[in-house]
Amino acid sequence: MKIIIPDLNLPYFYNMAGCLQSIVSNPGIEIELMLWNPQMKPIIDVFDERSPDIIFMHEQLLNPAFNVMLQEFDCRYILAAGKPYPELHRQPDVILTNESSLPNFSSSDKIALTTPAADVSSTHNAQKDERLSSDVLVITHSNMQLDDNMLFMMDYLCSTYRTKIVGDTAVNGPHYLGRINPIERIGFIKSSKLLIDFGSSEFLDASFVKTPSLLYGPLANSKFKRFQTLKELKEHADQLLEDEELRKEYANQCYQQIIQEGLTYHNQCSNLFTLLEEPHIARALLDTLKELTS
Amino acid sequence: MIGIIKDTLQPLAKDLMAIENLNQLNDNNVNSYLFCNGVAPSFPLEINTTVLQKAQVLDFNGIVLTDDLMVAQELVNLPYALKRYLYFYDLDWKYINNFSFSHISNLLFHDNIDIIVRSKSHYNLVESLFKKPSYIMEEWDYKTLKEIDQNA
Repeated sequence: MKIIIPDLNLPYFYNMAGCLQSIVSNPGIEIELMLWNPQMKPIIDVFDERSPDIIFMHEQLLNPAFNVMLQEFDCRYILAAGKPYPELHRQPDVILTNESSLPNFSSSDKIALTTPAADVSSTHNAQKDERLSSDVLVITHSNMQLDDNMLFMMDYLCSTYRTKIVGDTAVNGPHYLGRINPIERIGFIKSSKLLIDFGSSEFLDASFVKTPSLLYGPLANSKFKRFQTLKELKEHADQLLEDEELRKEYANQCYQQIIQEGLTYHNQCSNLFTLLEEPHIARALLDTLKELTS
Repeated sequence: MIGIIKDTLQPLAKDLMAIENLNQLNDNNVNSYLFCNGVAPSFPLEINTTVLQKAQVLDFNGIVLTDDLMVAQELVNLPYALKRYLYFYDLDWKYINNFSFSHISNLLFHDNIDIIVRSKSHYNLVESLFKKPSYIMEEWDYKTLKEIDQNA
């Protein structure tokens, strides 16, 4: 089965590619996975050269050429979209979207929700690195809105604990150590005693590698320790940093929560292929997840 | 032998202090060198030490120091230097536009590059973020430079 995923610098597509890549060598799974750069190769050539069985598409890539391909090739497609899609020769086999965009699609559409999840493929063999170690770690993202309250709390963390701040959004102060690549990112997470999540969803990967997290805000998962005020942050952080046994116990709880609630991209990818009526791929993904987490 | 590498000497506090103390070092009979590509016309101090082109540091077999994070990238390439120091006169990485951790990590965690800081608070910070600095040196203090030379 030939599966094509566009190389659009979209984390979700990379995550799906990572999940599928983890099963290409499984016995009985015959997947040929290809990343396609839309800037370098037109979609007509992709279909002519590769004859994909499944193609991931993004709404920005939809054009008349793709519609012609749908007519000529027997190819299923998964469409990542936030707004209603134009009329095409065939409707998407599955739509990838977020919860807020659900009203844009009809009840006849098969929907797979894209939500942040733990990236098992790239984190399962995370190693500690003394150079990246910290007591408290904060990772900022490019789409994060850091308000004064969050910055104030970060100042507190920097002045009280051995804190490192990394990520796409620069924070004023010497504790900010710059942007990081995915390998450095997981090294920082694994080497930290405590991750403070100000809305970056890093707690998911952190929980998977058994680094405890504190989540900021009222919408956080209730099983994870959360804080909204400086007092709450201080109480939780002091408790977890001072008591190693408590920290380990909490880290294990977070990890179990991720596994039991299926909060990994492998679970999401498996659901996607269940919707595509490919149960053997769906099962292989879950089996691989089980192997990686055993 | 102490050698300080600078790109271009400017009438900035850190360059003024560097030259003032390099001159004092020279007066205290410690061989000292300045490797730079130029001196700004407005630089007010007399330079009473050996001044050489920056490229000549490649042949230098003494102790090499710089307070410039960009120049420090070249420290790892010095084949004959006895010791290599990066002096955090300011916490420079804060001022790099669009910077990545990899810009500084290869340098600051390098086994052959040691760090000098300017104060106890900088010492604590750099130790927690990167590695233990080797010295605390206030404003290019020539006495600390002398100590560095003697300890080598």
